[in-house]
Amino acid sequence: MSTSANGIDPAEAPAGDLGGTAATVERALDVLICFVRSDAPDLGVTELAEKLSLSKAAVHRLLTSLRGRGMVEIDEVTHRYRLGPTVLTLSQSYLSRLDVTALAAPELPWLCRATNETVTLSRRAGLTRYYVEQVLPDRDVVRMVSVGVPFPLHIGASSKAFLAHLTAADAETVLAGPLDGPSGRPPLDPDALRAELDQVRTRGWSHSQSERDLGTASVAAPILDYRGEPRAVMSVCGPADRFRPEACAAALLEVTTRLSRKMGHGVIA
Amino acid sequence: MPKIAEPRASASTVDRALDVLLLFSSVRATTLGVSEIAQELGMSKPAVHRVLTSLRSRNLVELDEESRRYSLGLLAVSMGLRYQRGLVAADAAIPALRPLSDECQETTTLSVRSGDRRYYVEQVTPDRPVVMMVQLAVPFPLHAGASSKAILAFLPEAQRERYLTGRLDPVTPQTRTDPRSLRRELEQIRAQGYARSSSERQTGAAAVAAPIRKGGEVVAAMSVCGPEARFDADAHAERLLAAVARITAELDAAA
Repeated sequence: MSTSANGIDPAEAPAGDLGGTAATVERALDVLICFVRSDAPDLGVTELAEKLSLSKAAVHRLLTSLRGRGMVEIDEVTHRYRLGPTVLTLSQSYLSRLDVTALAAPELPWLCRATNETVTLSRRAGLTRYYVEQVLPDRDVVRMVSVGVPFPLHIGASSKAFLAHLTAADAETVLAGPLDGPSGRPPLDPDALRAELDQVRTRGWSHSQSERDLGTASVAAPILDYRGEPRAVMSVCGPADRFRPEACAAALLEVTTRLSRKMGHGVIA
Repeated sequence: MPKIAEPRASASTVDRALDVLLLFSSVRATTLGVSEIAQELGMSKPAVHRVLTSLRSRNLVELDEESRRYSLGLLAVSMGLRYQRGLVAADAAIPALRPLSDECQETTTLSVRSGDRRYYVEQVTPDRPVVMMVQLAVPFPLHAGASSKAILAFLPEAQRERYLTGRLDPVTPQTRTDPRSLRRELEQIRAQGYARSSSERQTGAAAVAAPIRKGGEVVAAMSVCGPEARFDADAHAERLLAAVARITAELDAAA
């Protein structure tokens, strides 16, 4: 049995110490949470003990277990603790297994019912994007999209939602390329498009009306990952004459915000 | 005050709980059931269930109510991202990985040193059919692979010599383990500012790597890596050095 630095056997530490085994595990996890929530890169035993209302001996014992598995590491000079590299294996496992299409699929029918319009999901391939899913509302007149067909990134709400969140280099490549106009109209002005993309980023969603196809309208928002990169775009679309962009966008953002969070977006301050 | 009955058991409960948690990153499956975990770790099902309940209460695992299977929760990501952010080079270097990967159309990585080991802390892969992917947080010796050598070459001389006079095991048949030949190579790396590697750490993989320094001290290494057969080391090295120069300038300006 190890004893802590001050010579007190942690098992005989006074009140404020650990009770049952589940409680012990949860205190160990709370130590990890302290590191996640702390603004400082490292924490000392005393600070942790205060934050968790535990004795220093108890905290020391928990840190020893966490350190044994590489979940925390100690700075040999300052004797302060920080998260250890093992936590990266956990985040990498979580993030590398995320399948945005699978994650989003169960949300599409709900959004379709909430808006009573067509809901789609798009993925990007290079400087094009294509629909991977669509869910149609149960009504006579509906907007239908072509799944699997590549579309350019400068036109239509889903494309602009991607374009607004690409790296600057990729976005400029698109803006420098041919910007064929909507439905046979003249090409787009890159500066006007840049201004629109700024607005898309600020507002959180893009809008189009009769851009790719006459008589249709759409709102779209990205599902962002932990790096802020757009992994997919979800849209609500319908016939332009009855389409209510603000109401559809509100329901859409509720879903995309939740999905982005599951992709790790904004999980730490 | 009565003594707590089983201090040993209580300490090892935390260890067992961490084993359950880490099992989610060591197996290929995305989800795990109570029985599988119990069998894998030699624990009783009630014990596994108790641990999972604790892990779930802190968002480290999630339960799919329908399948009754568990997967990693969002706190697992938060911890990894918080760890990355605590690294000295993180704010300047991590955002630079994507543009560099786009330019080179290869994987870009960031590594840090811990004692006599180096491990990857982040990577960005290009959007193409065949890509190289590295494992984060797995320690490698400081003499195998471009990122390792980029760090070793720029360590203070005494520290470097202490490492080179220690035991140098090969990782692959191509790993250089002769201290004299390594010394010559490290000198060349210091002269040109970056390291190269082909199949030294992983057969079939090639890389170029450069140190990221703050106030003259190596705080990380950045690499471009990919399949050996198509790897254009000279072209990638040029882009890498330009990126690292910008990062180093940013770090020194912030100091």
